[in-house]
Amino acid sequence: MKRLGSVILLFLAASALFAGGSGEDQVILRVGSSGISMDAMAIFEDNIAEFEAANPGVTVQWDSSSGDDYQFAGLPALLQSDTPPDIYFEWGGARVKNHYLDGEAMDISDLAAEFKPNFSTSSWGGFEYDGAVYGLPLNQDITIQMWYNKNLFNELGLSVPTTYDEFINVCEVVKAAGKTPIVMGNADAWVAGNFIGLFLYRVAGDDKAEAIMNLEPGYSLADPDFVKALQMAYDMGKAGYVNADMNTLGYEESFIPMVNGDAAMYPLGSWYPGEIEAIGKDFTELGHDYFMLPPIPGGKGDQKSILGLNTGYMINSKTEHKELAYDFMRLMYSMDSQKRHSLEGEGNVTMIGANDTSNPVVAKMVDDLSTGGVIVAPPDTGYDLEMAFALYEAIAKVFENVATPEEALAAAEANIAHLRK
Amino acid sequence: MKKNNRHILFVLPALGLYSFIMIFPIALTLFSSFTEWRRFIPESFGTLEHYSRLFTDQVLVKAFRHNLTYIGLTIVLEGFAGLVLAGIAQYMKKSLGFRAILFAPVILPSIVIGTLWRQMYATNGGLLNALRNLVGLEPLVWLAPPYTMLSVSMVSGWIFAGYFMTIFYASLSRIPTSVLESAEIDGAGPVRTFFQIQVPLIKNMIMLALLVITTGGFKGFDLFQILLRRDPLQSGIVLPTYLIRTFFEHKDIGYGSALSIVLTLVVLIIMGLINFGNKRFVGEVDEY
Repeated sequence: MKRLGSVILLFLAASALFAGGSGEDQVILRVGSSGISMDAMAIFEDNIAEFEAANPGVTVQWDSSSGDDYQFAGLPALLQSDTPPDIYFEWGGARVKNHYLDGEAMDISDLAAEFKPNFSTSSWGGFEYDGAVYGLPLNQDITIQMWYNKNLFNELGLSVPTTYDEFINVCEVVKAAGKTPIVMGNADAWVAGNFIGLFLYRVAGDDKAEAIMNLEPGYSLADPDFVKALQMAYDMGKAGYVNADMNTLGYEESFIPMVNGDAAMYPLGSWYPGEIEAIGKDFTELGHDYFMLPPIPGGKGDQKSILGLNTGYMINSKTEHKELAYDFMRLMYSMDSQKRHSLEGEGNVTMIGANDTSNPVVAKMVDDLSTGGVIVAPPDTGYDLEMAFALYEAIAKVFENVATPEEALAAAEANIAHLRK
Repeated sequence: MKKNNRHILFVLPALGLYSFIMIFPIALTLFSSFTEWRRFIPESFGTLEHYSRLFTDQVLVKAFRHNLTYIGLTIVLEGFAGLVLAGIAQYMKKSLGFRAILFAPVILPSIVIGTLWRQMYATNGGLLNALRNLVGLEPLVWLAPPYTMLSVSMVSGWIFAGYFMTIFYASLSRIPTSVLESAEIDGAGPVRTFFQIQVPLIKNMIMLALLVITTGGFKGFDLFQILLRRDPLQSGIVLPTYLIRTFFEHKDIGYGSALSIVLTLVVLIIMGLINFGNKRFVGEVDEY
């Protein structure tokens, strides 16, 4: 009897171990995404409901993790797992190219052809390689805008600066009033990195900055123009124009000083209104607005250049559900969905005519993108990530004044020396 | 197979399992460290480049220095503090509540502790700076240089001092009361009795704690990651965070593997040194 009991127990244990294989008829379409707002997720959930209703037996499983976790660990782990995503979110540029090189990106030129007539031409940048399309852009973000507290500006008698000297003067007046001129939550390194990234292009010139960050032979991160750009960060740090805890303050913690009126400006992208809404504040009521960084004196680049990038979704080349993935993408990118994304403050969507231009901030962004200067890529999405973070660490150090621009850039160059081999 | 060798068959399953979970990953890491990779794809075997790069890597030097600093600080904040707390608990008539409170942080998840202490250390609105403000001092940026390593080590001490207290308390409790009574008759006070009589009698346990703190110090990752996030100033980068960054962010499998091998060797050497020191300088003592 004891033996029979043992056999039954063993059988049950084995059954438990191999359980979960049932439901072979059920198809799961997996989507991996970076952390998205509840409003955006609500739109995707509606897409999922509609899709599942139209495709009985198909379940859409949406796996979302916060931006940095997704970028550095979440997505690489998902793609290496036994249940990789069929569709996944990406930032256009070097990351998409790497997926293409690693064989993780499906050529979706045929699907893209359906959308091309309705999307702005510039929105495809960063998703096309070797004549093929590897992703559908959903948003065209401006990565650095100077968001400012209009009420505080009015209180201090300040107007939007149009020159770099006026910008520095704004910082000085705000500081004298006992407030923080520029706040940044740079614990993850990219906020200040993106901010000064724009200085690099404008000071060095677009072609030269690109050549340096592409690690082209004959160029170095310690280039005198990069030194000059970082000197501006050094001076801002020394003058006390940035929050003293910028390199330890978490991104999501850093909006509080702006909301409380303790800080005047925040250099961030077109998703800023969404972040403010995410912490339970009404963006419109707060009276925040943005201006573009004024021209930098003596800069060799396009002084109206915009640091921006396209973000969107790609299809895994290893998916077994290509047609389902295509159909789901068609829903995600429908005019109705895109209009809703714009209404919910998800930045500038890529479909022509879908942006909610009754919203003055959105209208301004659409205008800036169409009338502004050349669009240049942030270092961490447009170029090699190791190079980008070596540069970002240099920028963090000079803001903190723990290294001069020359020292910080020389150290960054030494750290990436192996990439040049 | 000879009849008297059949017992080997019984060892094979365990040996197979051990090889699969221990030997195979180590061998694979060693193999990877001599391999040229293109991201996740091995291209050629036989390169020494990853090892030669170790000698010029300034970030590695910084990470190693931070690990040593962390170990030094945690020996005091975890080990020594645990020892003193065990001594205090010993002299308390009822110490259960005291010990339970001090042990409690050990059972909390790292993410909870990290998040809690990030708030404690916050420059604006953090408890520590609020206390400084009360006495008219300027706020400090606790998680930036020069305080970074001290701040992380303090959290580590807050968690593990109670753990080591429990271990030391158990050892101290096993010392016969006759020994303590003799010390008292000879005129030794509580402090002198503790440091000159009790502590030497639990030297073996202290050496074990030292071994645990040192090896644990090389593995510390979660607190650094949660408290310092990406640590753009690299003021608290340690070997495990550098390893993770190399593998996942840079996708540099070859160099990451070489770093792993070196880290393992360093830990083994340090363990060997502690064992040697234990035998050479501590020798045989009564085990309490």
